[in-house]
Amino acid sequence: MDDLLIAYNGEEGHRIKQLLQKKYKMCDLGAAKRFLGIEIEKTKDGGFSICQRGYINTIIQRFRLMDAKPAKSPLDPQTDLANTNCEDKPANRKEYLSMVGLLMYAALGSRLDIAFSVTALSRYNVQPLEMHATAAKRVLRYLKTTAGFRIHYQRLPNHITIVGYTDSDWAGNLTTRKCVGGCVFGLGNSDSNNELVMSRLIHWQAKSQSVVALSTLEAEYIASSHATRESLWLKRMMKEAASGMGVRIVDGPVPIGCDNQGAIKLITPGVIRQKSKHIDVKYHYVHDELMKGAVKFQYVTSESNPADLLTKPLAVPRHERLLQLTGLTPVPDDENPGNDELPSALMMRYLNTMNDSDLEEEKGGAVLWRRKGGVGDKELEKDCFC
Amino acid sequence: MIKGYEQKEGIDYDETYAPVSKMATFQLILALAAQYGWDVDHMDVVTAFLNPKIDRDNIYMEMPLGIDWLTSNENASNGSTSDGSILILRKALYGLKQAPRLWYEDIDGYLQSIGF
Repeated sequence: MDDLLIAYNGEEGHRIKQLLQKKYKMCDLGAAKRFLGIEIEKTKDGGFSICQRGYINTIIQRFRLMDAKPAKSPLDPQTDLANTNCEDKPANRKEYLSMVGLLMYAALGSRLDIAFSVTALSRYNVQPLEMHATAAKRVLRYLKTTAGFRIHYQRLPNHITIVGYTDSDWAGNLTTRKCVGGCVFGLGNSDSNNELVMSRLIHWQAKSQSVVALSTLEAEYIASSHATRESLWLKRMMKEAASGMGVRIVDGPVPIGCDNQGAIKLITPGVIRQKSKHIDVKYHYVHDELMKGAVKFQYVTSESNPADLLTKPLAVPRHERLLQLTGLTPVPDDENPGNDELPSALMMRYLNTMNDSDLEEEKGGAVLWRRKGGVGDKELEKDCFC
Repeated sequence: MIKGYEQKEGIDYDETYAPVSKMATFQLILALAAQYGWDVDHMDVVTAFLNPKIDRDNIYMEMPLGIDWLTSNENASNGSTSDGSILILRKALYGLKQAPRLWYEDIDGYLQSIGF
């Protein structure tokens, strides 16, 4: 609320600061290093990278998980969180809520890899069971080993544009049979083969859809409509920010990658929509925006669609592969991420250092976590909400 | 303390909505700054909510502890203002329902006046 960032070119920043200080008593903290708990680092090539290492470590300490075994992915695809038959004890609700809440801030700030997990866990906010608390702690154990993961913002050659991906699972929520739609957006450009290249991650969302979709195609269609709305907003924001700075953004439809051919067909003008009449009118909005040239949809394979991360729990290899595509990768502070190849090379190194035996835990580690937090609450709050 | 929870809508406050920036905006600005070589600086407004003038003239509060210098009554230091004196607010305070909104209007107005 009282923190502000000023992006400026040359001397303009001083003028703005002086004007602000004329009216308000203000602290000038210089180049941004930490904003709302997010650590910002300026790289040698003039770019930025952000991470939430400090914030994540505070959460891990708060729940006393410093010595817990690491996990390679946030959620286990084998675990059925919706299993109502299981005779599990209720978890400490207050602790569960604070854990989900703390994870949510990480998911919003820089960690798109746990966004789906937080969405899934928060379905049980009303009556959490022990298995949900265990799953939430697994997310923390995953964060523990990946705390230093960063999003990198470097200069891209050629003109830039917003690039997005959309995806959806189908009936993933076993209780309501509703789908989760996900979208990822970043800055990027189309390469010479007209393939999508997205590298500067700026926005992501994992959202439970409000209607029950009858097929994968419908779920993807609804997700595409959501992605379209987000993309229009991002594009307008980008244009506004750039025009204030005297930069012209090349106009053109926002390319969005989708891995469902049927959904792309359904969006294409001229396709008879006999079998889509029942889909809520508001979702046909995507069709209209396509006609206006605001967006365009492009087929990508599921293997190269990072939005998949936001729709379901994935097995470790796939999770890691898709994460590489988003550009949320580990880079030690002493390395210069000037080279685009570097993050993925480091990712490989990080993967190799992790021991596979780390994965065989689950039940054994649970006892370790049964302790209450409490210490450091004050600092934590200060950290998140200052 | 100002007891914001005792405020009644329509009498003590109307609008409380105050927009805050989305995370995506922050990330977008950083991405653009990296692209075009902008600098990004951080500033902090000291006691931001105490800046705006209050939007109505009927907000009163009990005498808080420890400001007995405000009143001639010597008993005021123990919180009981036996002479019945109370305070009227001229500016916003933290804890007031409309404080974030007033601050938003204040800074928004100023930013627009300097050309944003």
